[in-house]
Amino acid sequence: MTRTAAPELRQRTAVAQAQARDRRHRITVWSLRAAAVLLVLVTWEAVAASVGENLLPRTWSVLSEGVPALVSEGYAAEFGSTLIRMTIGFAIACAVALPLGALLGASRFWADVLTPYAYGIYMAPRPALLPLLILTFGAGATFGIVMVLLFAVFFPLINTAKGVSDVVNGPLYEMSRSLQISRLRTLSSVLVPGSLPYVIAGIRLGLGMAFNGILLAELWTAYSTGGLLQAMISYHQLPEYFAFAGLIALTAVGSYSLLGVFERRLRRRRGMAVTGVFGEAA
Amino acid sequence: MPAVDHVDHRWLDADPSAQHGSASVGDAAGEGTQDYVKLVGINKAFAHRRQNRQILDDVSFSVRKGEFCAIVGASGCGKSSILRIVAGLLRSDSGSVSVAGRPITGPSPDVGLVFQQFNLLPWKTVEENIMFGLESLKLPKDVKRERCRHWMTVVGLADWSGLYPHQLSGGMQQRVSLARTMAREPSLVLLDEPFGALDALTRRFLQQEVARLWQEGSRTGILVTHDIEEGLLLADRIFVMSANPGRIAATVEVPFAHPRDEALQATAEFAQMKEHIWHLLTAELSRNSPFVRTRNDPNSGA
Amino acid sequence: MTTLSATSARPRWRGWRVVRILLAVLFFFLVWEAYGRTGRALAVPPFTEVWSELSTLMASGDLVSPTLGTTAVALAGFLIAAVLGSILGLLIGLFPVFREVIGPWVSGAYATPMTMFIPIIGMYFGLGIGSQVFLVVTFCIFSVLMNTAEGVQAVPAQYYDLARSIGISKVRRVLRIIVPFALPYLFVGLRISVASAFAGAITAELLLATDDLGLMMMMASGNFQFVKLAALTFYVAVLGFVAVGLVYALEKLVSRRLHAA
Repeated sequence: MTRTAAPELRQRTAVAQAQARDRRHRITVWSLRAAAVLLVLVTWEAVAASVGENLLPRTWSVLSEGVPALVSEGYAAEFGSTLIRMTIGFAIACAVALPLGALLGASRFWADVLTPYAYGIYMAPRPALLPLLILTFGAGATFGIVMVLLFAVFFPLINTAKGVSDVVNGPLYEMSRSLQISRLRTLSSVLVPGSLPYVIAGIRLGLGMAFNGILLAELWTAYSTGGLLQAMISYHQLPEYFAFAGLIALTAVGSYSLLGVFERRLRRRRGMAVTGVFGEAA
Repeated sequence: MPAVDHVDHRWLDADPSAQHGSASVGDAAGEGTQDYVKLVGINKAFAHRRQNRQILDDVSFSVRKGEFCAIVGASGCGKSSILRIVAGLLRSDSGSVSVAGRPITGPSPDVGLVFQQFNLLPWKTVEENIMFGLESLKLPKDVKRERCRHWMTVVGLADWSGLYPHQLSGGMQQRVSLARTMAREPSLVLLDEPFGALDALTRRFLQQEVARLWQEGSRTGILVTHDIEEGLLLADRIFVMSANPGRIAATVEVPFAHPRDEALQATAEFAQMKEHIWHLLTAELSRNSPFVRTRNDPNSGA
Repeated sequence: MTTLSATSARPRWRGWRVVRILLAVLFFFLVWEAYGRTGRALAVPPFTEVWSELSTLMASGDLVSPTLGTTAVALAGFLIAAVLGSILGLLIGLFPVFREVIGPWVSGAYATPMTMFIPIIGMYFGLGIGSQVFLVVTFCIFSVLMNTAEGVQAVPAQYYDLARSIGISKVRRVLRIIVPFALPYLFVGLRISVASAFAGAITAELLLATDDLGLMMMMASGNFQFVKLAALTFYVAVLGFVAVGLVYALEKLVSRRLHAA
């Protein structure tokens, strides 16, 4: 080993060691994750086996009886109509929340005036409005849309406010003025891109609440998806119930994750912190 | 006898356009090309909690065309506010400020401002950031692109045009910021502690680059800094500012010839100048603060 | 377009903020009153009517038992969620491997709408207080867990280095360094959680095992007693706010004692 080769070799060894450590860590984590999944499945099977089909169906039953029923009995289609109602309510919520949130973030005056309402809606036990609202809106589609609106409006509003406030009170605004960028252009090329990560975060969290809202409304009125879920329990159709619940969960988690990926991409490009509490998208 | 005890008044400027104390209206009209940038009697106060804080008190000075001046003072003496007033981002409470004879009412393409905190848009690349700076100018697209390319090359970032700010070091980001301002080709460039957010090494490199830039053009420049050496390296004239409230305490001509390099910093004259300005600064500081005393303080009974 | 910022040199009174907030709240009640008087929505009586109905109810003592019942459910669920959530949050914050393995599950659980499990919770836990408390826990636990985890992770790395260099044991390290840092985050989580606790309790009383306040509301709804229902709804909202206020007061108390220690 010549003296000139030694530093290079040391460097390569060090890098290789670091890579090996990282690989070991990742293997550990993924194998533990796989083990966790296995553990859940095994526990499920064990519990199902001991308590019987009437209380907890085995995974095979869920798959063989429940999942086909989603299509054959039209459960998935019914969920589709629920999703449409939820989307309408959520769209209205965002249409209200985003401009109001921007106003709140940009103006101290409006922040003082509107924040009590925003937190009022969030802190008040919203399910308490179920009996009252049903008298106003009836037990149909409108009721669900209104509940979604009430549930979903808070997070987009408050997160948009934070995003807009950061940009408006930060240095980018003044910089833009010094470059003589017009008000309108500043809005579109500085304010919107600047606050976008927060807006997406708010939409993501709001969507989670929207799912809760529509399901709550439909359980209360035994309408559409909610009604189906209750019926399945009443008639002990547990495989169907779990399959349906699985579909709902997949849709919710899927949309949440998709938005998370988008948000992560936005944050990464801006050099913002990317990881959240659990080491994934914030 | 150490040079520091001997304050050489040869350096003190007798320029009549450097006021301090009372405002003078007489100079306001007709100095023409002599005063490219003219501030007269600028006052500025901010409301802070329940009190008024006088940031600037009767600040007046002028800068000649093609001159590079530095405002040197401690933090919080309002020097950044002066720059913002000249840039048209802040309105003074009283007094007047004009560039090329025209009063300042807002940001204009003739005046460029380089910030301490870079202030690049994080979602745009280097090239896009510079193009963003050119947006408000009514120029054909290819002219803009050419300017963009030219200035990226000048600051040495042509190979990094597609990168995002967070992928660049502080020094590179500040170079982008500089390029963005220079691409607008303003006749007056204001630099607000441009190297304050950088480490000492990067600072030295960029100081040299700015000095080089100035020799190649006929731009007027005003630099704000707390670093006396930086002022001596770059400026033709230094305005020494005191704080609380902000006032121009003295004006100093910097006699060194351009280009100024490291060799200059080793000379005795450089050290003398630095000491002189330091004295001016600390004299002002001690006037306002009971904790700062200098050896030449008349109160210390030397 | 003027681009100069003319900052006023006059000092501004901070009190204007409080005034604005109070006026905004007052405005809400005024609009309520006005809208109620128009009689356009039967379910929205004027505020004054609602207030007098509520006073009557409170005076009659009919509200005492249901309030206690609902509050008990909310409190029980809240406490369980607080304990479980903070412990789990602490573990997640402290141990990276644990975080990376359990994290996706918690994240996934947070994203799934727990409301869809209400029917099966009823089936498993029966139609009694057990299922109600369980539902409240599912409503409350996430905000506590996630905020605690965030708080623990927010401790700057230098403090760990400091602890190690001083040589204090791991347990004391947790107590002395992490807890004060994570406490504000924990309390944010608790404040949100207590509001969710009441939401969960009412949900459970409407959809699972109807009794206490939920039952009262259902009956008023069924009998088309609009004013009574509005009064009860308002009352429940106020309960929620009071609970949040209490947690806020608790936080101030704890942090004061902690800083004094």
